[in-house]
Amino acid sequence: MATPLEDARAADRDRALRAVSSWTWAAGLGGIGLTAAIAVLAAGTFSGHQAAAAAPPAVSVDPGNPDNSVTTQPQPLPPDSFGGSNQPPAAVSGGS
Amino acid sequence: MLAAADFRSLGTGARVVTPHAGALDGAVAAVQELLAQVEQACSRFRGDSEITQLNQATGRPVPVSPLLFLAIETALRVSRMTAGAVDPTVGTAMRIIGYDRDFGQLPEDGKFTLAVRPVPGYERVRIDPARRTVTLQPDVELDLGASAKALAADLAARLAAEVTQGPVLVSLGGDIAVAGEAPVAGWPVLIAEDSGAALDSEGEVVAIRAGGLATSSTTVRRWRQQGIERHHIVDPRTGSQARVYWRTVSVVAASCVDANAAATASIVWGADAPGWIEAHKLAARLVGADGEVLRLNGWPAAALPV
Repeated sequence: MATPLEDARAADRDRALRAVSSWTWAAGLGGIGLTAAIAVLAAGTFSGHQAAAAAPPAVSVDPGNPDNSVTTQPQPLPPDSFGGSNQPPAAVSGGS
Repeated sequence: MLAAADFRSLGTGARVVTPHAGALDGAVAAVQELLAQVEQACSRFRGDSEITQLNQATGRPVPVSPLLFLAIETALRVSRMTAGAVDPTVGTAMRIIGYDRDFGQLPEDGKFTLAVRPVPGYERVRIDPARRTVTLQPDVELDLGASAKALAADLAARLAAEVTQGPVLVSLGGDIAVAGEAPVAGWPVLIAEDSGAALDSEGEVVAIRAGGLATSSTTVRRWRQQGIERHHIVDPRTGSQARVYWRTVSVVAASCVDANAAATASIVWGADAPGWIEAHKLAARLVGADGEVLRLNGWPAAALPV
């Protein structure tokens, strides 16, 4: 049969083990939270390359221009501003 | 009767045309002054250019001139427009495939380094319009070649038209911009594989009255690197030269920048390009690797000069 002194020591040991267990859980959760926070920060700071050039977009989307106004779309020339010609050329358009 | 002057600038042939012979000198002076500023700001082949300094100062905000800021802003807009098919962060890739100096100074057969990897991506370039600063993430090296020449053509045409109070056409290596009230018959332009072709060469002629016309081609500005034939259009997905599906693409648009963006992106996109061009109602002429010609959105049928 345990003495009162031994009971008190066992109770102290159990309390200490519970405290260690609680700290372990807290440290684990804190680590996960910190990792997530750093990941979010890194993603915002060093955004990677989009491999989106694989195919052309149906409509171009500008993340900095959420209403996707005309500034990111190529503007066509009105049909009456372009056509064939039988005049001697004034310039050459070609690769360079 | 059109008056014209030819000279070299930005590593390529430049041409200024006006219907008024008396206005030609003023137009040329204005264009040359502007192009000198563009070269000082945007040429990665000059050790003292602003962009060279910027490329060496990654990781922190760098204040830049209004002209370089505009050129970078334009390049980023082009990247967003083309979903990254035209990307200014190809600088390192260009050096790796051997395009590390003005084209005329490239060696006959340079050293070859195989390095196929995506370019860093335009998202790694941050601009702050309020402070007029640019921040490049480490490993980013800008090359504005694809869009800066077209922007220079747009700016030069507008400036020359203002200075001379008359219509002007400016061609920079085949990237053409016009400004002012066009001649009655428009500005006739020969479409060729090579912008260095003679004006009396055989080929289709179209006329524009506004905006810009640009042609991108894999058949010119080629060089050899340890026996391998290279061209200058980089596919950002691989960091290496684009596969040749279309050998030449010409596009007209409301500005030379937009025309150049669509033409260059089409080379990169290959078979997917016509759908995008159709969706954006851009008149275009695409020449396949086999020489077959596809005309879209009202690009006129072949016509020859008389």
